[in-house]
Amino acid sequence: MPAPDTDPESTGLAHRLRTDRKWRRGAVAAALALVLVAAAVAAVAAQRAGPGGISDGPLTAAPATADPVPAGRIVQKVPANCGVSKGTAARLAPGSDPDAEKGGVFRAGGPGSCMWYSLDDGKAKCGFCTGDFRNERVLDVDIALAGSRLQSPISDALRLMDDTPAFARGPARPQIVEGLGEEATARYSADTETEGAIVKFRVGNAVATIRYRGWDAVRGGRRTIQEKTALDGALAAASETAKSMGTAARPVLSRVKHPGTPPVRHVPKPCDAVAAATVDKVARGAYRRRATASLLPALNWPGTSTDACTWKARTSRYSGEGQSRTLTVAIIVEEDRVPGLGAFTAARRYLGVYENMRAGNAPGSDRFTGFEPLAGPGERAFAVTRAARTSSSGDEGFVVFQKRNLLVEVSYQGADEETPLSGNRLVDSAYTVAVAVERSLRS
Amino acid sequence: MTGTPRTTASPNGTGGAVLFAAVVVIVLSIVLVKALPSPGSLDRLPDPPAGPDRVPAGPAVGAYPERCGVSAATLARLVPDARTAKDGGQGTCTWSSHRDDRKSERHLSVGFTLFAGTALRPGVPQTGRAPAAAAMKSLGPKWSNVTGTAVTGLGDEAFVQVSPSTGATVVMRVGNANVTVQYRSLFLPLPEETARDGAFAAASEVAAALGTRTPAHPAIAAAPRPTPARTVPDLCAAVSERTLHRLVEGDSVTGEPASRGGALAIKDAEVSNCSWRSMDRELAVSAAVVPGSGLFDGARLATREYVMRHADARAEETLSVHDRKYFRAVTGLGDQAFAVQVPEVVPGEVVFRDGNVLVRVTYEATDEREPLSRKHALRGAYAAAQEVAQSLTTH
Repeated sequence: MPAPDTDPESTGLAHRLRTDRKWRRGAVAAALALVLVAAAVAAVAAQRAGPGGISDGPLTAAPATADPVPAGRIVQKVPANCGVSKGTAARLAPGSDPDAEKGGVFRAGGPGSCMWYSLDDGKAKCGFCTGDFRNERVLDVDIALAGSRLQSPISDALRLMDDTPAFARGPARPQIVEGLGEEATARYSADTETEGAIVKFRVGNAVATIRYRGWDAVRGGRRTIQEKTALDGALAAASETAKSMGTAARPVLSRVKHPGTPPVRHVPKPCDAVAAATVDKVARGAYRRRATASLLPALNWPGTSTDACTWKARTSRYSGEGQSRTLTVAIIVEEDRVPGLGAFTAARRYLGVYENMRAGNAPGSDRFTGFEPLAGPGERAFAVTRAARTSSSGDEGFVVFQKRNLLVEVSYQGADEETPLSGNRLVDSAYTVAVAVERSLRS
Repeated sequence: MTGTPRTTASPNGTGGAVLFAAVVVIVLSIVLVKALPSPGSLDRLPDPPAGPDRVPAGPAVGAYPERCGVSAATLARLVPDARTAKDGGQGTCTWSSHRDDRKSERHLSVGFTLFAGTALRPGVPQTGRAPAAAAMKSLGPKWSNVTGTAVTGLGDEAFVQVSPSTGATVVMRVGNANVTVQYRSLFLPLPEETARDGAFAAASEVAAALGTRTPAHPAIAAAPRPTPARTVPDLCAAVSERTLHRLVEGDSVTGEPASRGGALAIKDAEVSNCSWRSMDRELAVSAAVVPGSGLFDGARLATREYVMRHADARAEETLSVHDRKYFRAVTGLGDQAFAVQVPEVVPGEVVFRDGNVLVRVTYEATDEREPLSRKHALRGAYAAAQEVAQSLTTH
């Protein structure tokens, strides 16, 4: 066995570092360089993967509050004769009588469906009337009580009150009526299909439609009653119906939807509504995709625009492996086609979703738990959790809020390996982001 | 040894230090090269050559015109003593003559459907994202049992169906609005020419009211020429090994004649697909041979399909105002082509038309977390598209 080499010249690096300053300087420089490189590599790695988890917060707890929305009124019985007095019926449809087919004029219908008909000022004497007549007047009142197994009665009534998209594109849009029920509209058309005015109002779960139509014979033809005559008649009957139902009954046509809340002026794209630092709190290193709203109605109507952004963070390229987080922000903008209408429309759409969530009921097969009104963000807000749709998808936390003419929905879900996230963390994550979204809205 | 001058050890010592530092630098360089992204061979591929965008946008219709766009004079001429049954408030106007005699009784109706465009569903190459494309997608005959004839000089596209029972029905598109104009008599069928001319007169005014720039001169188009039979070459062999090696970076990657959601979906068309997928990249090619119909020949119908996709890509929005979208008409690729890439919305995509064949090429990262740069995505798609176009020419 050879003896150990004790020659100082051949003891290598250790000896040189002990004895030679240049070697020591070189070693220090190399060590420093190694430290710098290690730091750079660590920084690159950190940028790519992030330290620790992919949703380390901090989160802000969603602040629950007492329910600020009183229970909606549930109408269970419609008023006799739809609330219309004999005097008003006689004025609008002269000669009409509660006895059906008496003297060629008749009243028809049943509970919640009333009609008064007048031909030749009620003087026509015929059963099945044909021939030339001087005039015709018809007052129709229909009261529908919403009650659906699929959603809350109030939400269903709000849906019944919605005008069809086609109306919103027409040259003569429905007018705003204030002081009648909880919301009301009116419109007039001289065409033979409408031939007069239609007034609609809602109180709680009840939607009343009052139609007053008629024509006068003029030079061998039929001229539809004038707009003022038609609207005045329909509004007079509507106010009596509303009064009999115990709701606001002083209708006024308005060019503004009071209180005339102005719209939010600057609405960012949903992907721009949350700063990267906030996204990193709940979904670090996420990529983005276009998305859709889940709870809020995805309406592609004139005057309504919807856009949504989803951030997806995953630690593995394969689904079901590692950690995954999904954050979605949807923003619905209700345009101010009439001053104040945008905020009003947003509020009623919010109410429709709110009532469903509060009742634990919603169209579709989803189950919701943990409904909770929140103190913010926006003017009104709530949180709710949607139960997992499949065994692997996990629960999804939602925070929905309304600010002026905007509706915002933030949702959050995730999984660690095959274990989906659950509990308050989902709603708190959504709330943390919702607060950031509100900050991005400038008025 | 304590008295050994420093200088005696310096030459050997300096050389060792230099060697040591060199090793450290080499190691560091290797580490940095591995840690930082490096430019690949895609950098050497050309950008798609941009050209002028020749696909017209058409008017954007947001509301129905007053009286559905039909003038009082035309109405009086077509429907004597007209009564308005529907005034257009809900997108339909209907006028009927008030005369009792069956000889002069006439009916005219105009109906609108306005399209706002549909939402994009990630991963699904659907058409109709742009309002005009959504209208094109929905345009079809009013009557399933009445033969249609193509019409020129009316709106963006139009055809007419004439029969004794339905009178003349013009179906046309103006931008994002589909319009149906029907002119007829209920009791005594109108002569074909009277019915058609009446419908053309009303439709011409409606087109003008919707914002068509050029005056309408509706005329029956020539019958479509028969579309010659055509096949598409094997797409999996259409892209060269060299290009594939550049794009999907794997010698063992082979094309599969299937699609992972990027296939062209065109009614009645014969569609071929091929996709190549490595751990990092995915290239997909889809080609559709569009047959002719009773109204239009195959090339015309393929042009419609191309225009829908062109309009969709042109209308696509970025997710963020800070993102930059790329959309250009491309020259030198088939009869018409475009290239598009929208960060995190649309991958690198090139679509071109060659006669009655439509081709779509997409190139993207396999792992959504590591998207390709716009430059690489577009260059890759264009390189493959060029070779597919070449194979179509030589096939």
